[in-house]
Amino acid sequence: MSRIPFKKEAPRAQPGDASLSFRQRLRLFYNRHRDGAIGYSLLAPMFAFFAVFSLFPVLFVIYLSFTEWNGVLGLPKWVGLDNFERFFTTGDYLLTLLRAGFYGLLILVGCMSVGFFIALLLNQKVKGVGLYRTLWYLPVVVSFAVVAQIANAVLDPVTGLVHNVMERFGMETIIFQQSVFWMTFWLILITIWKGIGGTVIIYLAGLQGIDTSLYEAAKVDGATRFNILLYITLPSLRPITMYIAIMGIIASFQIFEPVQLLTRGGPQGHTNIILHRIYQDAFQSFNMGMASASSVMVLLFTFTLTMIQYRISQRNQT
Amino acid sequence: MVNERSKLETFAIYLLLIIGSAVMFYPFLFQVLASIGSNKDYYATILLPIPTEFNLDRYVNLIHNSLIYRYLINTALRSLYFIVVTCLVSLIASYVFTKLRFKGRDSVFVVFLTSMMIPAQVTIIPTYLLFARFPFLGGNNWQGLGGHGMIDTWGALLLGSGIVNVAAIFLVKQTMESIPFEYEEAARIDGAGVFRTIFTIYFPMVRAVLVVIIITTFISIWNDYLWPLVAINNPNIQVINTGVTSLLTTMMQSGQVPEYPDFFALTAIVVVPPILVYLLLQRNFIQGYAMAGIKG
Repeated sequence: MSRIPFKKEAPRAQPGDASLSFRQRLRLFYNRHRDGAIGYSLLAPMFAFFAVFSLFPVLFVIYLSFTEWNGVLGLPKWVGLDNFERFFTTGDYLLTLLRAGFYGLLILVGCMSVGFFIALLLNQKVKGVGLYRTLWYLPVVVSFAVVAQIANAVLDPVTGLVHNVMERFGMETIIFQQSVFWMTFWLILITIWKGIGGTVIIYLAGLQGIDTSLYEAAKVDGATRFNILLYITLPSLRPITMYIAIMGIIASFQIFEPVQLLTRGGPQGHTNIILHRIYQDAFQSFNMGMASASSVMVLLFTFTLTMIQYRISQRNQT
Repeated sequence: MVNERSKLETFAIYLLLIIGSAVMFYPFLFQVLASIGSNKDYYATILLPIPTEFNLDRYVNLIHNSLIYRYLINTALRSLYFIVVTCLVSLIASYVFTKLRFKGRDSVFVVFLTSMMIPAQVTIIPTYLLFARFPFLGGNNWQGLGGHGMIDTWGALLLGSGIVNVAAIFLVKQTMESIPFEYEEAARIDGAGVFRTIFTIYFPMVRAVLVVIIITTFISIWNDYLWPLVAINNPNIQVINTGVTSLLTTMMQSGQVPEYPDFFALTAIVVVPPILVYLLLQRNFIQGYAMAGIKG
């Protein structure tokens, strides 16, 4: 019995078959359920890791959001909905969440408009598409933390490159770090620069996926290029645009490095956003309960947006 | 698409593309050029510090710096470890999910998939507490109190949700689904065991998608910042990205910012490896990204 049989040819032990020994019955049973036995024994260790490091934290963060705990001494103390009440009523919690969404929108507008335009250009039978695409994608693969530190040095009010250049050209220098507007501006500009490559690639893939016969038919009918863009290209890309939009808003709740390193949430907490707020609560004030409650709020937002995205993509398929 | 294109238009398209690409590429070019020239070259120019002499002294000095060297070794080991684990796990898991037929298989996969909706940043607090309060490790008692758990140990760098990378499993599964079931039948008839089937039959067929996984895993581990920031304090086991970033923060706060060329060399050490990997293997990478981005 060296080769492993398939389920369809493996016989089942008949109830009346008294001549079969226990071992033989076991063998027959295994032959019938061989796939399941191997499958579950291979998946079990993976599922164990998955349960401990992926599932457990989600349940744990929900539990922690109802407690007060410094994470070091003693055990979590149940406080009910106190943390959530604080989230909505005191401090800047709600504001940081909304601000993240607002930044997300600004970043999206930048990424989508420029990204779409560049994808359109790249789709115009140009030479060296690969090279441009590669260059546009470069910022995506580098460390955001280091990019933020470079921006930090470049925008320094005394030794920064931008400062030096402005001085050399006789412009009035600005201390960016004291201005909410400028810090927001740089934060958003850098995030757009960092993320736009992904948008370009998704849009380009979408453009290349449009059925060319649609364009031909439109041309035969004498449509102008603007009309083609408006009535064929844009509607065809609607699902992709929705996808980019929702993923972009979700991603904005995860912006961390530029806020932590470049603006430090300042000036006066006016550029603080939710993930950095969570970090401050957890690792500077050691208020794990409050940090968890904020995390749960982000989780709820993300979950809702993902569901909306899923619904839309299902509807587009049918 | 539209074939008739005036010369002016062609010119405008190329001009826009070249300017745009320059904006994306400029900071890296500036950084690398500034770090290989002399200080004099750097301060003589504004827009692009073109080096008159070529020297890699700054990089050599950085490698000789025991701390930076440690960071690099740690990051390399961690990347290698996660690349091996991710490839193995995604190969085996996608074999189970596509070639074995048993009850409950698809439900397990759906559970895996659902976890993709949860951003890692949201679970950073519970994950930190799980590592810090892990019972019986790092001086902890059964309640997980008293010690530091796995924080500040290699455990914190080598364990975590990255072990079961659902996106990678998903990607390999997509590819394996397209392989006809006859291969599996042939393997079984010839008496090949499970692992032999996976590694001699399927592994060569999904090699292309594994390359994508290797690149994405490398880049994400190399650029991992938040987790090492909260989980590692000991400089001996810190990774390059968080290590260099924290080093720079300390310098900036104490007002001891290095000369710009040195500063750019230090940051280039973190930025350049992912760029090189990406440039060398970008064809696979972009295909994989577009695939995962749209379907996932």
